[in-house]
Amino acid sequence: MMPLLEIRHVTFIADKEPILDNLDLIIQEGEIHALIGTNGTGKSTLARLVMGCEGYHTNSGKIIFAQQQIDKYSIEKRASLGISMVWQEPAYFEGISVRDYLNLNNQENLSECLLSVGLNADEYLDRMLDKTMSGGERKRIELASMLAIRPRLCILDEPVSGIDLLSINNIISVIKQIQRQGSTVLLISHREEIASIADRASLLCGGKIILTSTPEKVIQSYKSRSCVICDGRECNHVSI
Amino acid sequence: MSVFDKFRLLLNSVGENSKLLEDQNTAHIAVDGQVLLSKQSIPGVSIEIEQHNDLTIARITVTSHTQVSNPVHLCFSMFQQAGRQNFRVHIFLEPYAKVSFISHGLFTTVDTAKHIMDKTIEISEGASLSFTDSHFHSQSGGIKVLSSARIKVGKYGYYFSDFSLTTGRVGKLNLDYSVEAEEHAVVELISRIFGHANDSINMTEKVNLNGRFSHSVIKSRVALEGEATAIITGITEGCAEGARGHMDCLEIIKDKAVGQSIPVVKVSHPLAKVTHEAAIGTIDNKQLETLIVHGLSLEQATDLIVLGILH
Repeated sequence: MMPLLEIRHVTFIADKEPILDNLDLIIQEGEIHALIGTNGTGKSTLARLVMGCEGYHTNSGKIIFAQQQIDKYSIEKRASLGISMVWQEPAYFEGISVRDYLNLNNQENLSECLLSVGLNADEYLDRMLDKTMSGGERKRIELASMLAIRPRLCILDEPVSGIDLLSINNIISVIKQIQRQGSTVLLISHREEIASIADRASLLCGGKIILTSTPEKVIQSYKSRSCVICDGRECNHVSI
Repeated sequence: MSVFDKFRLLLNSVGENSKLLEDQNTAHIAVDGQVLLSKQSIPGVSIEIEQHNDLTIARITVTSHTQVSNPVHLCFSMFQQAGRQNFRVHIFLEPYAKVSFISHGLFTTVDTAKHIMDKTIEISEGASLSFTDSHFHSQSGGIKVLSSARIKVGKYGYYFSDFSLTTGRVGKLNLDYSVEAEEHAVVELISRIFGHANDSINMTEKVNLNGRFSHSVIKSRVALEGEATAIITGITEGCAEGARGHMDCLEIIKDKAVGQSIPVVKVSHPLAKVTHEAAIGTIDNKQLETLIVHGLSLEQATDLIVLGILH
């Protein structure tokens, strides 16, 4: 496999505090790569840096996507290269229907996309993406949109937050479907059952990737409290 | 081409079907300037017109227990380049009548005009009125709209109003609505306005929840660009047990536009409750970025969000 996304020596400082510190990470084309870490370790920050969201630009280092250095590109340019993202808490919109939203790029098979995420097209296509929609419903619409637009790199930030426990298996199958459709997936989660579906995983702590391996090994390391970077302080590990 | 034919074309151009003016089951008034072009009453809906030199008065009565299936259309145009249109409309719904009105302000060809609309609406016990007021303006910016309404909603009555001015330049808009709600009455006021260039919008909507368990919502959606200004005043007074009111104002501003929201909440009964929320600012960045990562340009994303809130 070829690297699709290379993050090289990236440092990101916010309010004089280093959030990411000389971080290196490689995502291979076609894989699901889980990024694991406790709350506040910088997982979502890394996602926003890759996407190029406002206020998220590297202080040093490079982000390379499909062999192009993109860290100076606008979010529009990055989206045009095929990077897309689902936020942990997606935005709501007044007056925009699910149909309009899923059809932003004249995609087809909207009903199938909704069905894949467990939503009935007859019931949802004409619903508005406003606050009348629950967090779980909104998250499912976002995942359906990824099925519809088929990005080259799909960043999923905590895709099961707000999803009821009984539906987690459905979301897992959607993530695998996104991959089968040809997308590479950067899967951000601190939940074992989600991270375990990845082809590879990386553990983030203290602003660095401290381990990249199989999901089993990374999850084991995460659970065994063997962090050598923070000595158990930042990621709540109690011993080295 | 006759004025009436031009009128029909104009009506079609804003997405309405001008055949409604020939439909025997649809009550309507069609007016150009101060000239009455057509009117039709139907069983249960009586329309009387009284014309003066510079004032036209329409009296519309819906008889009790009548459920009017087709909306009543009130169509106003001005084909002259400049002019003045002065209207008073009195609408009276007898008990348990149910009707909807669609008012079309067709000012897409006029440069300078003043449209004065003064409505009094009385909704009797158990009656229901939905009033959609859509304005379509030219790009001249020379149109002044002075629209006022005094509405009484009787016991268990329902009043819904949706005012929109999102096509063309607003010019100057002065809108002043006041509603009195009796016991168990329900009132919903919605307004959607898009101001451009140096358009000026001044809107006051007031609801007095006088009756026990009366409810109201005032919802305003305003988008402003260029040097447009808007002052949106929402007033709700809760004066009785179980009265519930809510006001929700959202203004999106771009360029050098200035938006102002003035919510006034007054409660004079310990078991009444009135809430409000207001947000004024540029477009939410997370909304923009969400649409951009779905493939829209910044401009397309901005337009879609603005159109969405004015939807």
